[in-house]
Amino acid sequence: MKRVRAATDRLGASLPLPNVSPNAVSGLSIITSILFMIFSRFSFGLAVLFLLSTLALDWFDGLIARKFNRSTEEGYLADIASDRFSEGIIFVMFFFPWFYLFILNCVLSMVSVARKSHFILPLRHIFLILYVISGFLAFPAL
Amino acid sequence: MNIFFHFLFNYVVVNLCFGNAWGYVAVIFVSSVLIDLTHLPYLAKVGSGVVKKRFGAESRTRFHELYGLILASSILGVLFFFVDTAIIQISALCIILHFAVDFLAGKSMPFYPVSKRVVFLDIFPYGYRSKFLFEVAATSITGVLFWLEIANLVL
Repeated sequence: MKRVRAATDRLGASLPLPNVSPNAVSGLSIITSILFMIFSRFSFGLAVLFLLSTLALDWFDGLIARKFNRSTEEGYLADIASDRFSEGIIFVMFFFPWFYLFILNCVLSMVSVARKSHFILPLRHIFLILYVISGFLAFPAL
Repeated sequence: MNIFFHFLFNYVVVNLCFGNAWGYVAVIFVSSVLIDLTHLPYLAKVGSGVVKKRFGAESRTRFHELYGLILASSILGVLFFFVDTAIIQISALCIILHFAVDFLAGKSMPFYPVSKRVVFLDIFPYGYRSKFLFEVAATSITGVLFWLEIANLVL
Protein backbone atom coordinates (compact mmCIF):
# COMPACT_ATOMS: atom_id res chain seq x y z
CA MET A 1 0.00 0.00 0.00
CA LYS A 2 2.84 2.39 0.84
CA ARG A 3 4.43 1.65 -2.53
CA VAL A 4 1.19 2.48 -4.33
CA ARG A 5 0.89 5.73 -2.37
CA ALA A 6 4.51 6.62 -3.15
CA ALA A 7 3.93 5.92 -6.85
CA THR A 8 0.74 8.02 -6.95
CA ASP A 9 2.50 10.82 -5.03
CA ARG A 10 5.27 10.84 -7.65
CA LEU A 11 2.64 10.98 -10.38
CA GLY A 12 0.74 13.69 -8.49
CA ALA A 13 3.88 15.77 -8.11
CA SER A 14 4.19 15.86 -11.89
CA LEU A 15 0.56 16.90 -12.44
CA PRO A 16 -0.38 20.61 -12.48
CA LEU A 17 -2.68 20.34 -9.45
CA PRO A 18 -4.25 23.56 -8.10
CA ASN A 19 -3.50 24.64 -4.52
CA VAL A 20 -7.10 24.45 -3.38
CA SER A 21 -8.65 23.13 -0.18
CA PRO A 22 -8.47 19.30 -0.23
CA ASN A 23 -11.68 19.27 1.84
CA ALA A 24 -13.49 21.12 -0.95
CA VAL A 25 -12.24 18.53 -3.47
CA SER A 26 -13.57 15.76 -1.19
CA GLY A 27 -16.92 17.52 -1.03
CA LEU A 28 -17.10 17.88 -4.81
CA SER A 29 -17.10 14.08 -5.08
CA ILE A 30 -20.50 14.11 -3.32
CA ILE A 31 -21.84 16.49 -5.99
CA THR A 32 -20.53 14.29 -8.84
CA SER A 33 -22.17 11.29 -7.12
CA ILE A 34 -25.52 13.10 -7.20
CA LEU A 35 -24.94 13.82 -10.91
CA PHE A 36 -24.08 10.13 -11.50
CA MET A 37 -27.33 9.10 -9.81
CA ILE A 38 -29.37 11.51 -11.95
CA PHE A 39 -27.68 10.63 -15.24
CA SER A 40 -27.64 6.86 -14.63
CA ARG A 41 -31.31 6.99 -15.63
CA PHE A 42 -30.72 8.83 -18.91
CA SER A 43 -27.21 8.22 -20.23
CA PHE A 44 -24.80 5.37 -19.59
CA GLY A 45 -21.83 7.32 -20.95
CA LEU A 46 -22.44 10.41 -18.78
CA ALA A 47 -23.10 8.21 -15.76
CA VAL A 48 -19.72 6.49 -16.21
CA LEU A 49 -18.08 9.91 -16.68
CA PHE A 50 -19.49 11.21 -13.38
CA LEU A 51 -18.59 7.99 -11.58
CA LEU A 52 -15.01 8.29 -12.89
CA SER A 53 -15.00 11.96 -11.81
CA THR A 54 -16.07 10.92 -8.32
CA LEU A 55 -13.22 8.45 -8.03
CA ALA A 56 -10.74 10.91 -9.58
CA LEU A 57 -11.72 13.64 -7.09
CA ASP A 58 -11.33 11.13 -4.26
CA TRP A 59 -7.79 10.47 -5.54
CA PHE A 60 -6.95 14.14 -6.11
CA ASP A 61 -7.91 15.32 -2.62
CA GLY A 62 -5.20 13.12 -1.09
CA LEU A 63 -2.69 14.09 -3.78
CA ILE A 64 -3.34 17.82 -3.28
CA ALA A 65 -3.11 17.49 0.50
CA ARG A 66 0.24 15.69 0.28
CA LYS A 67 1.68 17.84 -2.53
CA PHE A 68 0.97 21.13 -0.71
CA ASN A 69 1.59 19.78 2.81
CA ARG A 70 -2.03 20.27 3.80
CA SER A 71 -2.60 16.81 5.30
CA THR A 72 -4.56 17.14 8.54
CA GLU A 73 -6.72 14.91 10.71
CA GLU A 74 -9.70 17.08 9.78
CA GLY A 75 -8.94 16.46 6.09
CA TYR A 76 -8.71 12.72 6.70
CA LEU A 77 -12.12 12.71 8.39
CA ALA A 78 -13.63 14.90 5.64
CA ASP A 79 -12.26 12.48 3.03
CA ILE A 80 -13.69 9.35 4.68
CA ALA A 81 -17.06 10.97 5.45
CA SER A 82 -17.35 12.31 1.87
CA ASP A 83 -16.60 8.83 0.53
CA ARG A 84 -19.37 7.30 2.64
CA PHE A 85 -21.97 9.90 1.59
CA SER A 86 -20.88 9.45 -2.02
CA GLU A 87 -21.26 5.66 -1.73
CA GLY A 88 -24.68 6.00 -0.14
CA ILE A 89 -25.92 8.24 -2.94
CA ILE A 90 -24.50 5.98 -5.68
CA PHE A 91 -25.75 2.70 -4.19
CA VAL A 92 -29.28 3.76 -3.30
CA MET A 93 -30.29 3.16 -6.93
CA PHE A 94 -28.65 -0.31 -6.94
CA PHE A 95 -29.96 -1.32 -3.55
CA PHE A 96 -29.23 -5.02 -3.24
CA PRO A 97 -26.49 -5.90 -2.25
CA TRP A 98 -24.66 -2.58 -2.60
CA PHE A 99 -26.60 -0.64 0.03
CA TYR A 100 -25.79 -3.30 2.63
CA LEU A 101 -22.10 -3.15 1.71
CA PHE A 102 -22.32 0.65 2.11
CA ILE A 103 -23.67 0.18 5.66
CA LEU A 104 -20.79 -2.23 6.35
CA ASN A 105 -18.32 0.36 5.01
CA CYS A 106 -19.83 3.06 7.28
CA VAL A 107 -19.30 0.78 10.29
CA LEU A 108 -15.74 0.00 9.12
CA SER A 109 -15.10 3.77 8.79
CA MET A 110 -16.21 4.39 12.37
CA VAL A 111 -13.99 1.53 13.57
CA SER A 112 -11.06 2.81 11.44
CA VAL A 113 -11.34 6.31 12.98
CA ALA A 114 -11.68 4.89 16.50
CA ARG A 115 -8.67 2.57 16.12
CA LYS A 116 -6.66 4.98 13.96
CA SER A 117 -6.25 2.31 11.29
CA HIS A 118 -7.62 2.26 7.77
CA PHE A 119 -9.64 -0.74 6.70
CA ILE A 120 -12.37 0.30 4.26
CA LEU A 121 -13.64 -1.64 1.23
CA PRO A 122 -13.06 -0.01 -2.22
CA LEU A 123 -16.74 -0.46 -3.11
CA ARG A 124 -17.04 2.30 -5.72
CA HIS A 125 -14.03 0.96 -7.66
CA ILE A 126 -15.54 -2.53 -7.77
CA PHE A 127 -18.92 -1.04 -8.65
CA LEU A 128 -17.40 0.99 -11.51
CA ILE A 129 -15.88 -2.13 -13.08
CA LEU A 130 -19.14 -4.10 -12.79
CA TYR A 131 -21.20 -1.12 -13.96
CA VAL A 132 -19.06 -0.65 -17.08
CA ILE A 133 -19.12 -4.39 -17.87
CA SER A 134 -22.91 -4.59 -17.44
CA GLY A 135 -23.32 -1.42 -19.50
CA PHE A 136 -21.29 -2.81 -22.38
CA LEU A 137 -23.17 -6.11 -22.23
CA ALA A 138 -26.49 -4.24 -22.31
CA PHE A 139 -25.39 -1.78 -25.02
CA PRO A 140 -22.82 -3.59 -27.25
CA ALA A 141 -22.82 -0.63 -29.66
CA LEU A 142 -21.04 1.44 -26.99
CA MET B 1 -29.58 23.99 5.53
CA ASN B 2 -33.18 24.80 6.33
CA ILE B 3 -35.96 22.21 6.15
CA PHE B 4 -37.62 23.93 3.18
CA PHE B 5 -34.46 23.52 1.11
CA HIS B 6 -34.09 19.88 2.17
CA PHE B 7 -37.63 19.04 1.12
CA LEU B 8 -37.55 21.00 -2.16
CA PHE B 9 -34.08 19.75 -3.16
CA ASN B 10 -34.94 16.13 -2.34
CA TYR B 11 -38.21 16.42 -4.26
CA VAL B 12 -36.41 17.71 -7.37
CA VAL B 13 -33.70 15.01 -7.18
CA VAL B 14 -36.22 12.21 -6.56
CA ASN B 15 -38.25 13.43 -9.53
CA LEU B 16 -35.16 13.34 -11.76
CA CYS B 17 -34.10 9.89 -10.54
CA PHE B 18 -37.40 8.08 -10.15
CA GLY B 19 -40.03 10.24 -11.89
CA ASN B 20 -43.51 10.70 -10.36
CA ALA B 21 -42.16 12.33 -7.19
CA TRP B 22 -45.63 13.76 -6.47
CA GLY B 23 -46.87 10.20 -5.84
CA TYR B 24 -44.31 9.91 -3.05
CA VAL B 25 -44.52 13.47 -1.71
CA ALA B 26 -45.42 12.34 1.83
CA VAL B 27 -42.46 9.92 1.94
CA ILE B 28 -40.13 12.63 0.63
CA PHE B 29 -41.41 15.19 3.17
CA VAL B 30 -41.13 12.88 6.19
CA SER B 31 -37.70 11.51 5.17
CA SER B 32 -36.38 15.00 4.43
CA VAL B 33 -37.53 16.58 7.68
CA LEU B 34 -37.14 13.65 10.10
CA ILE B 35 -33.38 14.12 10.63
CA ASP B 36 -33.85 17.72 11.75
CA LEU B 37 -35.88 16.53 14.74
CA THR B 38 -32.49 15.68 16.26
CA HIS B 39 -31.94 19.45 16.63
CA LEU B 40 -34.78 19.66 19.18
CA PRO B 41 -32.63 18.99 22.28
CA TYR B 42 -30.29 21.80 21.16
CA LEU B 43 -33.23 24.15 20.51
CA ALA B 44 -34.66 23.37 23.94
CA LYS B 45 -31.26 24.14 25.48
CA VAL B 46 -30.46 27.46 23.74
CA GLY B 47 -34.03 28.71 23.21
CA SER B 48 -34.16 32.08 21.44
CA GLY B 49 -30.34 32.22 21.53
CA VAL B 50 -30.36 30.03 18.40
CA VAL B 51 -30.49 33.17 16.24
CA LYS B 52 -27.07 34.20 17.54
CA LYS B 53 -25.57 30.72 18.05
CA ARG B 54 -26.97 29.21 14.80
CA PHE B 55 -26.99 25.52 13.86
CA GLY B 56 -23.30 24.71 14.05
CA ALA B 57 -21.65 21.38 14.82
CA GLU B 58 -22.76 21.63 18.47
CA SER B 59 -26.43 21.66 17.40
CA ARG B 60 -26.18 18.07 16.18
CA THR B 61 -26.60 14.93 18.21
CA ARG B 62 -24.93 11.68 17.14
CA PHE B 63 -28.09 10.89 15.18
CA HIS B 64 -27.36 13.78 12.82
CA GLU B 65 -23.95 12.33 11.92
CA LEU B 66 -22.64 9.11 10.35
CA TYR B 67 -23.82 7.20 13.43
CA GLY B 68 -27.41 8.23 12.66
CA LEU B 69 -26.95 7.41 8.99
CA ILE B 70 -25.85 3.86 9.88
CA LEU B 71 -28.88 3.50 12.14
CA ALA B 72 -31.36 4.86 9.57
CA SER B 73 -29.80 2.83 6.73
CA SER B 74 -29.92 -0.36 8.79
CA ILE B 75 -33.61 0.14 9.56
CA LEU B 76 -34.33 0.79 5.86
CA GLY B 77 -32.19 -2.21 4.92
CA VAL B 78 -34.47 -4.44 7.02
CA LEU B 79 -37.67 -2.76 5.81
CA PHE B 80 -36.54 -3.31 2.20
CA PHE B 81 -37.75 -6.92 2.45
CA PHE B 82 -41.21 -5.97 3.73
CA VAL B 83 -42.15 -2.60 2.18
CA ASP B 84 -42.46 -1.38 -1.43
CA THR B 85 -38.94 -1.08 -2.90
CA ALA B 86 -39.51 2.40 -4.38
CA ILE B 87 -40.62 3.80 -1.00
CA ILE B 88 -37.49 2.44 0.71
CA GLN B 89 -35.18 3.70 -2.05
CA ILE B 90 -36.76 7.17 -2.05
CA SER B 91 -36.70 7.34 1.73
CA ALA B 92 -33.04 6.23 1.82
CA LEU B 93 -32.13 8.76 -0.88
CA CYS B 94 -33.82 11.63 0.98
CA ILE B 95 -32.14 10.74 4.27
CA ILE B 96 -28.67 10.38 2.70
CA LEU B 97 -29.09 13.62 0.73
CA HIS B 98 -30.08 15.41 3.94
CA PHE B 99 -26.91 14.22 5.67
CA ALA B 100 -24.79 14.98 2.59
CA VAL B 101 -26.18 18.51 2.07
CA ASP B 102 -25.69 19.44 5.73
CA PHE B 103 -22.17 18.00 5.57
CA LEU B 104 -21.42 20.02 2.41
CA ALA B 105 -22.88 23.31 3.62
CA GLY B 106 -22.01 23.51 7.30
CA LYS B 107 -19.73 22.49 10.13
CA SER B 108 -20.17 18.96 11.43
CA MET B 109 -18.58 16.26 13.55
CA PRO B 110 -19.08 13.37 11.10
CA PHE B 111 -17.61 10.68 13.34
CA TYR B 112 -19.14 11.81 16.65
CA PRO B 113 -19.07 10.10 19.21
CA VAL B 114 -15.89 8.33 18.03
CA SER B 115 -14.19 11.63 17.14
CA LYS B 116 -15.23 15.14 18.21
CA ARG B 117 -13.17 16.81 15.47
CA VAL B 118 -15.20 19.49 13.65
CA VAL B 119 -15.04 19.33 9.84
CA PHE B 120 -15.85 22.11 7.38
CA LEU B 121 -15.49 21.52 3.64
CA ASP B 122 -14.92 25.12 2.56
CA ILE B 123 -17.14 24.83 -0.52
CA PHE B 124 -20.07 27.05 0.45
CA PRO B 125 -19.90 30.28 2.52
CA TYR B 126 -20.22 30.09 6.31
CA GLY B 127 -20.24 33.77 7.33
CA TYR B 128 -23.51 34.89 8.95
CA ARG B 129 -24.67 37.16 6.12
CA SER B 130 -23.21 35.16 3.21
CA LYS B 131 -24.68 31.88 4.46
CA PHE B 132 -28.08 33.54 4.93
CA LEU B 133 -27.98 34.87 1.36
CA PHE B 134 -26.77 31.51 0.05
CA GLU B 135 -29.63 29.68 1.80
CA VAL B 136 -32.20 32.15 0.50
CA ALA B 137 -30.85 31.82 -3.06
CA ALA B 138 -30.61 27.99 -2.93
CA THR B 139 -34.09 27.62 -1.41
CA SER B 140 -35.57 30.02 -3.98
CA ILE B 141 -33.98 28.16 -6.92
CA THR B 142 -35.18 24.75 -5.69
CA GLY B 143 -38.58 26.32 -4.95
CA VAL B 144 -38.86 27.52 -8.55
CA LEU B 145 -37.82 24.07 -9.84
CA PHE B 146 -40.41 22.45 -7.54
CA TRP B 147 -43.13 24.82 -8.78
CA LEU B 148 -42.18 24.24 -12.43
CA GLU B 149 -42.34 20.49 -11.86
CA ILE B 150 -45.74 20.45 -10.16
CA ALA B 151 -47.02 22.81 -12.86
CA ASN B 152 -45.80 20.19 -15.38
CA LEU B 153 -43.60 22.74 -17.12
CA VAL B 154 -40.17 21.06 -16.86
CA LEU B 155 -38.40 17.97 -15.45
